[in-house]
Amino acid sequence: MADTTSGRATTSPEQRGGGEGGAPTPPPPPGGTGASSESRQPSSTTAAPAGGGGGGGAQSPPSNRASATSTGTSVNNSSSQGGPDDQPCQSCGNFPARFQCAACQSVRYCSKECQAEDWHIHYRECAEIADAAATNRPRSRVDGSESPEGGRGEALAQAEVGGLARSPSRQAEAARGRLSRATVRSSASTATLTEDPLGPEGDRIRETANRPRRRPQEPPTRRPRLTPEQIAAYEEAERIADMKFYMLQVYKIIKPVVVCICLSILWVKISMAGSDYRPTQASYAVYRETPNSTPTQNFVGSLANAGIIIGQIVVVTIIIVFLFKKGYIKVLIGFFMVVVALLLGFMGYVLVLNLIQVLRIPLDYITMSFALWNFAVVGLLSVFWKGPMWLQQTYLTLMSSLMAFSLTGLAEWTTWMLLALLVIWDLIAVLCPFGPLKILVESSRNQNQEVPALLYTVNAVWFMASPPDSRVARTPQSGAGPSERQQQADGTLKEAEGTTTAYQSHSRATGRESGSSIGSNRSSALGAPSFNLDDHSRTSSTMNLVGNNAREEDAFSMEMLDRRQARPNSARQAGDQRVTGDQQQQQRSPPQQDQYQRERERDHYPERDEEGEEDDDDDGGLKLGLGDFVFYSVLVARAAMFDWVTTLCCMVAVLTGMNATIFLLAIYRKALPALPISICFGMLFYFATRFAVVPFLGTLAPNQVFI
Amino acid sequence: MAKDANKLTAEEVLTVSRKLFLGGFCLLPFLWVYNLLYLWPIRHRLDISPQVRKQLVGSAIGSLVMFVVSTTWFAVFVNHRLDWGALGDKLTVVLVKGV
Repeated sequence: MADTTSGRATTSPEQRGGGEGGAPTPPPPPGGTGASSESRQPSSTTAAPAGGGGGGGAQSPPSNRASATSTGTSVNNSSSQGGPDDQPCQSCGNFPARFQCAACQSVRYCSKECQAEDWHIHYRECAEIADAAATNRPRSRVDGSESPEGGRGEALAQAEVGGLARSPSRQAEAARGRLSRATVRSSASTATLTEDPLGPEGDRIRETANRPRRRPQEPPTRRPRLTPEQIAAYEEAERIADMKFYMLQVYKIIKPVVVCICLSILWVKISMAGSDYRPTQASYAVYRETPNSTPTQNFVGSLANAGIIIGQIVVVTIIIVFLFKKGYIKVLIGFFMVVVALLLGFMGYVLVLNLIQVLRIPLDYITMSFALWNFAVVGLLSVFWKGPMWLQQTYLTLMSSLMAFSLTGLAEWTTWMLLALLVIWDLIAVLCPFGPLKILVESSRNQNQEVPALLYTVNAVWFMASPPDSRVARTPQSGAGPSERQQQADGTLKEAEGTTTAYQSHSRATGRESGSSIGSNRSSALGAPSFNLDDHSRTSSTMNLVGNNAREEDAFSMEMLDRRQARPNSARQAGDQRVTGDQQQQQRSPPQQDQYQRERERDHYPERDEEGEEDDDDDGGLKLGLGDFVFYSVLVARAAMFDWVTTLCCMVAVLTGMNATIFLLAIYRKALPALPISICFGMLFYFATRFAVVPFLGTLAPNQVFI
Repeated sequence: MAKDANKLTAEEVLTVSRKLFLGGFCLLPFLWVYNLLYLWPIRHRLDISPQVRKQLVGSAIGSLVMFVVSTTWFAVFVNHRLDWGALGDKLTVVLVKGV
């Protein structure tokens, strides 16, 4: 915990006092031989490969040199960090683990024997961790030479070092001790009294800003006794973290949008290459543009056409909101299934007609109906049933592009009029007090129910945890209980996992009536203790390298079980462990299989109760209505009918508008209409490009200007 | 709602696999492919029943067979549609225009 003795020969190990009383304790002798404190107060005594040669360079089992520094109650416990039961013994997994490796201060053991046993594993990472700490020391020592640890910034440095090379799965395996390690460091620095107006909190404030988030606006942790400056600094740090979060979200949402737009452009370009089957204006259009109609006629006529379409959208949106509010989810899902099936089947058919005619493919009806039938059924299943995430996302993107393609049949004036009206409708629907989409988002949040088939969720990484549980109660003094931290670790785990295998989302399909709203969901009840993302993975990678001795496994599963008792319905852990397990399985020799099996079986118990919880767990994150996808694509596809310069300009403008919307989302933190900015930018750029840039380029081309 | 295969319970895996496998016989070989894509990565999980593995193998075989059948049919059609005269034209979705 807080007091850490540096085992390095170069620095005089010094105890970090502070804590509740703020009274520094006398520095223990380097390699002192005090007895480990048995008090409930966490005392990290060291039993470490501390010896000479800087930071755990020793290769021999350290037990002979193990030093246990008596720390007693001087240990800092004022911060929100947990007690000795917060991190298990690295070797046997038992609590309490009261000894800490003196060189790196990141792992803990329950006894010297355990440490000795673990040393052959730990030495690989120990030096690394210690070095990372050492490189950071000069910069971080704010308060002069009597601060041996330079705890400030150390955690971050480790984060940087540790973050360099790590596979996600390793990270997943690792998350176990990470938090507590960060805890160790940050509480160490808590004791460092500096001239910094933020005082000891500065460290954690910075960590707060740098910590990756999994959902916006995590509610603040209980932080006892902060000065106003500290509180302000924390708020600032939270804001920074939020901004970083939204930036990451932009990266995730931009890919499907770009793909959708590009597909729409492709369809349009293909269909324009001499197809007889281009989508045409719907039969309900009351006005048809002719080349020789006047602008006034065009304006009024297209206004009427667009008004009809908008009217349909409005009516359907209101019906959807009504059904959702009343809780007729099944009706809604059925409705969306029909829409999706029609879209995939019929528009798929039209697209195939275009493709085969332009590409001159002789296709027979048998093959085509067979393929379409398969295509549509798989689409329905992946969107509304269980299925791999990437398949679902592919289908959603494809569907949006099909929808956009079908809307390219609208006449030019009608398209622009429709887009303009949509902007207005979107503003009304999302921002007005009784706007249907606003009601939809709110009731979705209140009822804790996902809107079916309306939103593309970017939640590759959302696996946030539920509210604090009994373990917090057990350690009431620590603001953020271990379980909270555990949950965060689990979240991180999932993040890692998400990159490889699993994302789960509620992204579903939608028809054209889908709302155009970006909703940001922030229902997390998570505390925000500071933790260090990366230390942990190092442990795990080491664990991996070594393969798994059975003891480690035991420790792991014990720990898991322990947590599970505290929080029986935690989906995360089971999943995590499974990932770990899967990975471990490859390295495991047959005799260990049965143990693995046992572990497996244990894992499955908690899972059953989780099903219900799952839904509210992963619905954080940015959501973009598929309607937005569609109308972005419609705009760009319309531009694609003109020429390439306009197309690219519009695409950039639309994406910029989307980023701006997400930026606003980060500021306002409520559902925002996603269409207005993008569409306005897009239209502006379309007309500017079409009537200024393209003629300009046309003039430049024959009379070339060289600068 | 996509669901990560790793999170399915053993029973769910069995149900999903059986539904997809049986569904594949309604001229839906894509469902077999779907089954493989979805559940193949977790076939070694120790808690799932051996039946799932059988169904996966069945799906693989079925999709392969359907692939061969449909490819053969298409090859035959493309090569012989002109010989079939009116029938060939009737079967063609869009008559290929000359250049």
